[in-house]
Amino acid sequence: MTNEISRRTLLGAACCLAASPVVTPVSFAAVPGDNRLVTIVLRGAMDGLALVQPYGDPALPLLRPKLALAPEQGLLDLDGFFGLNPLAEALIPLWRSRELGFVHAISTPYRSGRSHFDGQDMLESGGAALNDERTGWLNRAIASIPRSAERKAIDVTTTSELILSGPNPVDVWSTRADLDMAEDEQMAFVRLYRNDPVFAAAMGDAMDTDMFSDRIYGDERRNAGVAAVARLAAGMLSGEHRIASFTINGWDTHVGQERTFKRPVTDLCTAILTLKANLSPQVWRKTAILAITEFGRTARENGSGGTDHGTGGLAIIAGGAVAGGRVYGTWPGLAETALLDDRDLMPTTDLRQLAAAMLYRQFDVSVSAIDNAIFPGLSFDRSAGYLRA
Amino acid sequence: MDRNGFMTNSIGTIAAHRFGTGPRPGELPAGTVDALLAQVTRGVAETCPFPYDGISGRRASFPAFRSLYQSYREQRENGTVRKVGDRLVNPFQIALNTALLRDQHLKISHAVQSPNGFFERLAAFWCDHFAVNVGKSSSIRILVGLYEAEALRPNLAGRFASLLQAAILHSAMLAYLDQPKSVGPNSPVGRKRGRGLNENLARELIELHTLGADGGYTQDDVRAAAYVLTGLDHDGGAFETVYRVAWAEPGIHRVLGRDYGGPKRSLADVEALLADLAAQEATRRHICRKLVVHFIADEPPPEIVDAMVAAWSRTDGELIEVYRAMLEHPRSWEQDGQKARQPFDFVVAGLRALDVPAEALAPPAVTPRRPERAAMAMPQDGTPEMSMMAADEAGTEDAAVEMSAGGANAATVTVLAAPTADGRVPIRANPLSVGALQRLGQPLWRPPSPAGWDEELSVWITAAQLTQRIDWARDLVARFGDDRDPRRFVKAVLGDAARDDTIQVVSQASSREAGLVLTLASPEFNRR
Repeated sequence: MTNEISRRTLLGAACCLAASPVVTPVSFAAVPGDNRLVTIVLRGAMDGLALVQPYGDPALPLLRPKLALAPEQGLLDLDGFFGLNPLAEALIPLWRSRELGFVHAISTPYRSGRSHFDGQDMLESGGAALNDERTGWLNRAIASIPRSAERKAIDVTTTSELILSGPNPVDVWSTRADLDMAEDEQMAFVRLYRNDPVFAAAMGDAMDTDMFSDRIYGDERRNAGVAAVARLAAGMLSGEHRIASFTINGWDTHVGQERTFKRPVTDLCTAILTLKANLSPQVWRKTAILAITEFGRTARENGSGGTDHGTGGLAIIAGGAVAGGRVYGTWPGLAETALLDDRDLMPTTDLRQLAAAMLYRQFDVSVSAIDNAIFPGLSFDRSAGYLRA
Repeated sequence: MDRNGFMTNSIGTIAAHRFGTGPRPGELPAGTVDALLAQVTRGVAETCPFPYDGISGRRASFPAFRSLYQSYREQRENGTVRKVGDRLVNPFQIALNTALLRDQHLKISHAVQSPNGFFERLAAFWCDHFAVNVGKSSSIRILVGLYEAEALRPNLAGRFASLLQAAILHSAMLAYLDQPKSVGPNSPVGRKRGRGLNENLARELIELHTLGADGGYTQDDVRAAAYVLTGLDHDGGAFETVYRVAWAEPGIHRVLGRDYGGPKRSLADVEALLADLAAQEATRRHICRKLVVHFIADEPPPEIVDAMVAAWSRTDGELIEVYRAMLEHPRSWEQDGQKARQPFDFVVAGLRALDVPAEALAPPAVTPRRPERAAMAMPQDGTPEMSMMAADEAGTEDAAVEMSAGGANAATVTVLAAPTADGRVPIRANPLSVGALQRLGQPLWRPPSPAGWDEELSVWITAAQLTQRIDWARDLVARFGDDRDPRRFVKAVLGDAARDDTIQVVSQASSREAGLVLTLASPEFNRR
C-alpha cells in the first residue's frame, strides 16, 4: 500500500527538542527485513513508580502516602510484587498474552543534573555523557543494519526529533500535513518547478505523501491526536517502513499527580492498542514497541501530591515480538540506604542495553556497531532477553 | 553568464536576495559594496527594539520575575496553586513565556521593517554562530533578547575578539553551556564540596566558536581551557558576569602551547585565553569559511575565503573589513541561487515583498475560553501547535530553574504579564511570523544544538518544507495580497533573477492570488 512512496529525500538534523505539541510528528525509516521497531519517547520524565508500583516493597507506602496503591485499592497485580496502575488497565490483556513487559529501575548514564533538556538529549543521542553525540542513536543504527543500502524515505513535515536525526535518510511526517490543492493548482506548481530538479523532486514527494495520507485519513479531520499518529505509524509499518518513532508529552507531574498522570497514561495505552489494532497479526508478531523516558521521578512524593525529577525510571516494551509478562531488571529496593542521593530510585539497568537488545535482535545489528557507533563506550550484553527467542 | 555558465544577475538583485532580506516596496536596493557596508554601520548604531522593555528595563525586571518564582514555590509548598480544570496555573512561567513571545515578535517585525538588510542577515549569522537555546532553562527565555541586543548586535562591525568576549561572557551563553556548574576540583569550593569540572563551554568555545573542529587542538587543550574558565560564572539574581576565585582551579594551564593562570587566578586569565583563541589562524579560516557557506555556497569558493582571511590578518580581525573582502570579491556575485533561504529568511522576505505593516506582526491576544473548552486537552482551532506549546511550557515546572532565590532588593515598579482569566499565556504566536517559523522547523532562538542550524540546501528544500511554505504563502497572500498584479509582482520581487518560465507560469496562473503564491513559492524566491 505504500509502494507509490518511493522517492528519496534526505532530511537533515533539523531537529527541535522543545516547543512540541502534545504528540509530535512521526519519524520513519525503511530498512530491509520483516521486523519492526517503534520507539515512543515519553517526554517530561514518566513516574515509573506510579505506573508499575512495587507494592511488595514495604517502603513504598511510607515514601508515597498519597500516591502508593495496594491491590485492594485497585492496583492491578502483575507478579505478586509489582502492580499496574489502574489508569493503564486497558493494557492488561497484552500483559496476559505476554505481549507487554516492563524494565524497572532503568536509566541512561545521565546522573544528578535532572534537567529535561539534558536528560532528553542523553536519551535520544545515546551518548555515554552529555554532548558526546550530536546525532540520534536510532539514526546511527540505520547505517549499521545489514543490507540496508536501499533505504527509501520521504518527509512531509519540517522537523525531526533528535532520536532519529543524523546523516541517514529518515522520513518525517506530520499527521497534519496536507497540500489541499485543486488539480489545476498542483499542475501549476509542477510547471513552476519543472526546470529545477531539487524543487521538482520535493514537490513530487509532497504530492505522493499527500495522496497516501489522504487514503489513511479520508475526509476525516487531521489532527495530532495520539490515535491518529499511531494509525499513521501502523500504516507506514505495514508498508515498507520498519522503524517508527513518535513522542508522547505530559509526564512532568510535579503537582496533583493523581489527576495529571491520567492523560499521558491514557495516551500511552491508546498508542499501543491503536498500533496493535491497525497492524495485521503477522506484522504485529514481528513488532517491538519500546517506550522510554529521560529519567524517573523522586521516590518520595512531594508536598503538592506530585513527584520531582529523579533518576531510575521505567521502560515499557510491547508487541508480538517481545517476551512480555515480566517485569525485567534488578530491583534495588526503596529502603533509605538503597536510594540514590537519598531521593531517587537507584538505576540498575542501563537503558542503552535495552535499546541495543532491540536493535540486535530485531535487525541483526552487530555487537561492534553497537559498542562503537550506536552507543559508543557501551559493552553490549547479548544475554539480555526482552524479546521472544 | 559567469565563468561557470550560470546566469549572473544585477548587483541590486543579488544584494537584495543573497546579502539582504529581499526587496520591499519603497526601499532603495543597495547598489554598491559601500551601500551594503553602510547598512552594517547604521545597524550597529541603532537601538535594538528588543527586549521589548529595553536593555535597562529588562534588567530592572529581574527582581519581579524572582518574586513571581518565589511566590509560586510557596504556593506549591502550601498546596495553594491555582487550578483551571486539571491544569495548574504557573504565573512565573506565564510571565517568562509572554516576555519571550513579545521579544520574538519584535525581532521578526524589526527584520521586516529594517532598511539595513545586510546587518539583519549578519545578526542572524552571528546569533547562530554563538547559538543559545531558550529551551535550556527558564532564565534564557528572558536573557536571549538581551543577549542579542547588548552582546551581539553592537559588536558586529568591530573586532572579532570583542564580539567573542561579549558573547562568551554573557549570562545567556554561560547558562546555556553549563558554565555555572563548572568548578575547579582543587579550588577551595571544589575540595570542600567535592564538585568538579564541566567542559561544555570550553569545548564549544574551541570547536564551534573559534578554531573549528579541524582546528588542530586536542582533548588536552579542551580540558586545560575548561580549567582556565573555572571561576567564570554569573550572578543568578542580576545575571551579571562574575568571577569566583574560590571556584577557580589553581595553577598554570597550558592551552595550545600558551600558559594561563598562576598562583592567583582572575578574570584576566579568561580574557587572555579568549583573546588568544580569537587571534589563531585556524579561527580566521573557520569563521571566514562559515560566512561564505552562509552567504554564498554550501561548497565555498576557496579564493573568497582566502581574500577574507587576508583582510582579517591585515586588520587584526576588524569584521567590517572581512565583510568588505567578501563583498568585493567578484566570485561573491556569481553562481546565483546556490543557497536555500532558510525559514527565517523566507518568512522575512515574504513579509517584506507584500509590505506587511508592523501592526500585523504583533502577537495576538488570547481570549479566555469557556471553562468546558478550557479543560479540553486538544485544541482543534487556530494554530494548535503554538497554543499547545504555550500551554505545555506554562505548565512545565522546571526543577532546574535558575532564578536564584535570594538577593531581591528594593521595590520595583516592573509589572509582568499576568495570565488570562482562565490561566493561560495572554498572547500567542502570530501565525504569519513566530508561528510560521515553528511550523517551518526553524523556531526562533531554538537551534537544534550549540552548532546552530544546518546550512545545506538539501535540508531546507524538502517535501515538507515546500508544503508548509506554500501553505504559509497562501495565508499571507489571502490577507495581504490586495489587488497586486502577479505579472508586476514577480518582476518587482525577483528582479532580473526571474526566469522566463517562472514569469510565464505566474502570468498564466488561474487567479491573481495563485500568481502571487507561485511567486513566493518559486525556486528563485526560495534560493539566494
